Amino acid sequence: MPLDYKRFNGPEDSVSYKRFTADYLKSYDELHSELIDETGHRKDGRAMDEARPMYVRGNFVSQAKGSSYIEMRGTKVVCSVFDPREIVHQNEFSTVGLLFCEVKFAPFACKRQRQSHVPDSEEKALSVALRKAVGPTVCCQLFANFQIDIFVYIIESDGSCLAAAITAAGLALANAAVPMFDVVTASSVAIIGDKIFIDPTEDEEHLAMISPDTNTNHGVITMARLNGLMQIADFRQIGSLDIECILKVTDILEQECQKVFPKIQKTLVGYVKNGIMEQKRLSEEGKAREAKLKDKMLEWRSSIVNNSV
Amino acid sequence: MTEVYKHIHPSKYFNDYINQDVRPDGRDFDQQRDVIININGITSADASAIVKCGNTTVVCGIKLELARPKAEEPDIGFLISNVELLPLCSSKFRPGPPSDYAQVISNIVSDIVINSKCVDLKDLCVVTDKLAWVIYCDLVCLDYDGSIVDACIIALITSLKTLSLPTVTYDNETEEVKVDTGVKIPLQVHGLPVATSFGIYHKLPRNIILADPSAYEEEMCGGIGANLIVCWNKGLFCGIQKFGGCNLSTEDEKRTISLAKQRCKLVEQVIETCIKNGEVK
Repeated sequence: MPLDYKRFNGPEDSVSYKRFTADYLKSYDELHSELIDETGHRKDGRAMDEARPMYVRGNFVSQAKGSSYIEMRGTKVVCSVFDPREIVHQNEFSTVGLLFCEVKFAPFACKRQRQSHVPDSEEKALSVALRKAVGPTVCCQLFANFQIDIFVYIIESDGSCLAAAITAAGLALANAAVPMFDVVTASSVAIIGDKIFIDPTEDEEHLAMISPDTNTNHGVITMARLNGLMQIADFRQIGSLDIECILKVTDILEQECQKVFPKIQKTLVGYVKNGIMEQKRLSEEGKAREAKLKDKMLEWRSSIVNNSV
Repeated sequence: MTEVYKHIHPSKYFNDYINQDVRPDGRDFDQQRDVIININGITSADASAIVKCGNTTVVCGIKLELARPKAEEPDIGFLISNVELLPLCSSKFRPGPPSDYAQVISNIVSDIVINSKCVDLKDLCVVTDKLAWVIYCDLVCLDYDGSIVDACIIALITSLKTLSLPTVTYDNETEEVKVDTGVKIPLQVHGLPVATSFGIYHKLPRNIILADPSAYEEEMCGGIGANLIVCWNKGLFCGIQKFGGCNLSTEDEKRTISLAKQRCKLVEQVIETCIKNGEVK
């Protein structure tokens, strides 16, 4: 691996201590049996069809035009959007604006091992997926020859990262007042055999990907949806699944996306309300100041008149 | 209206405030922004802290790894800290490898932490010449609004203070390593360095010292970053750095040093209370 001269590097042969703990060498079957307890609940006490509680807020980064923060227990994502800027090094005129997306993991985001600073293929894949999912909702024809930067940073990853990133990007774009067709929300499921895990955690996603048996259904599906227009913006499936399963899961995902939608709407409406109140307050203050100035002017004028008399 | 004015006449806008002895965000010249600390918010890291100084937000996450110590220094471990200025924290930074400025900040933070000897690297050695801890401290800026070094140092020290190392058993014959996460020993942190940034604004007849400058103020004081960083470590003076900008008189220097000393005590209290509250939970 090429050495990174721009950062401080540790010793090359360092390995995470988790490698030497008893938990590390568990087999697939052991892990599989741990996922669901006798009462049919998952490790964190959720039912199979229960998504994690979600915390959403906008205006997270003061320096950005628009930004958002989404937390779903272990998954924490920050997204910020900046003003459109001219595309550098471009020799042709493009009639539609471009979206530039970058998804990055924090070095400490994953439980298992430390992420390297150098962007890896997973980050690249997530960036492309994010661009494809957000692309249909942005009115790109309105800013020809310009590009909008969307940066997503995953502070902590515990499954459903792409879904969280897409939802966060949708909110940040709306927060930045970028013209959009609709609010985009996303949701994901993991499938292991006949079990469907809605809003999977890292462990569930991991197991769904490494199933040793190719004949049983396994995989992860992430879907982005434009809820007002009832359209699917992006559908991403990894793993092998039969068609009935995919159809069934699509319906479930649609419902899940719909559930997130009001939360985003509520947040956005809140900001619009605050903005209007702020504007009202400012204009009132301005009027008060003007009135004061006027009084002073009159006073001054009358004093001049008095003096001259 | 003021927003427009700010963009059309940036230096006049700023000057108008300074002439009224107040800063654009309503602070006095010596007044610092509030510090907010949250510990262990990130469960995937071995220790973590989120620090907010005003709008500036820095997240520090520590990951522990094991490695063979260097052959020339067989009894010491590693403490590696990096500062990442993400493109999402400000429009000043672009994606790609770290900019020169990010490297400078990384260097300052690492220098302060290593020189203040707050962690004895010998404590990190498990078996001489065989096994030692590597503490990776990754500092990530989520919101860049000036005085980044202050926030970085607070985040780093707070997370180091909350870090505990799992016990390791090393078999000399089979070279087998076993880690028991059930028993953890807190890491000894000896000092508590606190950095304080200042901006120096050129104005006649006297230059103005701005404590804890915001990103906008830093820009007005000549480019990116603070002009002066003063560092105290529990009543010991441990460093002063001046970066460009205009000159600094001796009285002003003395004043900044005493201001930094006061702030050191304050930050120390904030960190102590925060850790105490965290333990209660």
